[in-house]
Amino acid sequence: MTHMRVNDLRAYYTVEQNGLPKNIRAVDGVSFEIEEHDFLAIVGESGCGKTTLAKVLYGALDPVLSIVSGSVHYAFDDSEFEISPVQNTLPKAWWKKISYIPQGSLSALNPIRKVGQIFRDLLSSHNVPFEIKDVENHLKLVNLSEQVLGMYPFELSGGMKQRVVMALATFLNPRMIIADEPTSALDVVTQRDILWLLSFLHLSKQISFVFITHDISLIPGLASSVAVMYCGCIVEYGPVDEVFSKPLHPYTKFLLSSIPRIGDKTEKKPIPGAVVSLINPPSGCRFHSRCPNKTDTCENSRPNMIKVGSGRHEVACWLYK
Amino acid sequence: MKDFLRFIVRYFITRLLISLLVIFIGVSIIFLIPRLVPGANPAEMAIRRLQMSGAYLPADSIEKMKQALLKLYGLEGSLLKQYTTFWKELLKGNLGPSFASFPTPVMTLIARSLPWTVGLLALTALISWVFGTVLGGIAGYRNKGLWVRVLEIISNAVRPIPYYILALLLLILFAYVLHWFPTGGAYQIGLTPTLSWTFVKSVVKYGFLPALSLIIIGIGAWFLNMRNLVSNITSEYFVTFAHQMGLRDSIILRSYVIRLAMPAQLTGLALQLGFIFNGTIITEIVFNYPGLGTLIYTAIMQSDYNLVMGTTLFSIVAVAFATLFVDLLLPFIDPRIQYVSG
Ligand SMILES: Nc1ncnc2c1ncn2[C@@H]1O[C@H](COP(=O)(O)OP(=O)(O)OP(=O)(O)O)[C@@H](O)[C@H]1O
Ligand SMILES: [Mg+2]
Repeated sequence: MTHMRVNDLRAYYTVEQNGLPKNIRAVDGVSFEIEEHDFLAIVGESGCGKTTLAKVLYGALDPVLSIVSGSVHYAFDDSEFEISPVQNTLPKAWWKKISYIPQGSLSALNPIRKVGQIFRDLLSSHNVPFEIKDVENHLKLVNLSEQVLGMYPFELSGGMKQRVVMALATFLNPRMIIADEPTSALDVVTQRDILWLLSFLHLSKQISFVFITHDISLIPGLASSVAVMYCGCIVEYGPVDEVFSKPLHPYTKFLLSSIPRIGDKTEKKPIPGAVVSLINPPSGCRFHSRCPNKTDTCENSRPNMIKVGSGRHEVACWLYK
Repeated sequence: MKDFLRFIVRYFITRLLISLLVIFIGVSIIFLIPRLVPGANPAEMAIRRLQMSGAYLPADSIEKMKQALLKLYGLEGSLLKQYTTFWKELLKGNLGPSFASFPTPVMTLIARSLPWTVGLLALTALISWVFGTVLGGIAGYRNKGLWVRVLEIISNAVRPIPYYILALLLLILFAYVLHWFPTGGAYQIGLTPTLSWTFVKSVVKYGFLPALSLIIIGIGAWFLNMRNLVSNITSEYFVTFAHQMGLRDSIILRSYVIRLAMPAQLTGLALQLGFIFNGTIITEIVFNYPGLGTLIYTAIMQSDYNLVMGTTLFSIVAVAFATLFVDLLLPFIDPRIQYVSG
């Protein structure tokens, strides 16, 4: 069953620049679908709009961020939710059906409220009775001792805070979790533990995941499908093994060639050029200024996603027509 | 746990000693300053007052009178001797006689003014704090909405008005034009201060305008303070995340926003209560209200050392203990502030 359908989503920030209103087109025409029990990784460079996409998928708009067109539709066994320019019913699904692990997890907890109290707040807000045994068992699941309940977040390490946020996010048994770079502020060992935990929650609780990262090397062994994001758009989408073994888009090839491998002696080349502006994105394919295979078509018209190979692998590039 | 207790006791004792030292130094300074100011001799002042009232005093008797007065006031002998006698008497609770209203004891004068000042200022401080904090909290949390705008406009309009103008405006409008309230005093002349209903009613009626003026100014200040605190806290990510977890609005407001503003607001309140013993001279003058402010002012003008000492002593002790209280309280209301052995 399809869990989430994203349909030509465009979400812009409106900011003032030199006194004039400007749109930052951080999500600009994104479409994909997630099946039940799927684990989708979204990868892209810093500033390409990943967090913005995550916020919109979660329905967490703010005064400067609004949906211009398109929609996100969730279908669960017993309920459906949608966000579009005209409505946003996602807040009703928050934490019960969809949870969010933000990029800034480390500042996501009230520093002077004990972790146990935060759990009480959560449960009373969702009208669930507080059973200390349940909470303690749940903490064990994310590898935290029950002593954490009596501690203030300012007394916790970064990894512990991340686990607390994950424990909070999974306590009400959501069907979908959107995790925005849940490991980026952590050391390598803690990072591996957290990734393992995500995998474990995915498999044991049958939760679907949208996992956002800038580090493509984290994806194999974790995700089942991957979306490569560039400058507000998805440029390639498909099953992880297919994309990793046969990358199609030149940008994906660059990302993959940048993964360090033990014993690999070839020189790592940086991707030429810098991320382009989201205020005035280039015409045509947004990657053309950095692309080694660019043609005139690339400069003038934007490629659509087309299916290649197995039919679940899609790419937006004029090389594949 | 035992370590923690030892820690607290040590912390408490160091803080207490520091406060006592502050009081000692403050009182010593207050003892010295008037005695070192040239031309502010209370005996000469008293003689000048006599002369001004028209009495003729021959030159040689002036000098004799001066010596006699100094003896009477306890101001003879070396500074050191005066200083030691002063501390001895002070520790017995004796502040000596007032020079200007000789021989009334300073304690009696202070006891006459103190209840009015403490009653008026403590009450208005608490009322303004409660209203300012609540309104500011709501305004900072929902920074949109019509009546939040209205509140903001009012508080911004009131803010630039100097206090004495506001006080005079209230006085002119409600006392002279509308005749709703008396023009001055603490209670109706002729009544004797007892706990009778008539007397209490009169006190409330006479105290209303001074209290109102202080409350308006006080609410404005606490309102703006709290609004800024709260709107800063509200922009913290953990508040956004609390919403995203689906927490109930009332819980977020109480435990994720207001609670975090409390340490700063309570510190402010405690310090303000500490400053009560300075009185509020403008209020006392405009509304002709009895209080410590006027007492301190006249004591200084008349070189009434003992009275200056007495009134200032109360301020110094109150401020020192308010600070001590805040130091001891803060670790309990903000767990991030830890006792540091000092
Ligand atoms: N609140 C905001 N107001 C205005 N512009 C914003 C805001 N948040 C992000 N942007 C802009 O939107 C663009 C995309 O930002 P976003 O945070 O989605 O990037 P990202 O891919 O998550 O980057 P990173 O890997 O660094 O987290 C950036 O150009 C950024 O400057
Ligand atoms: Mg991000």
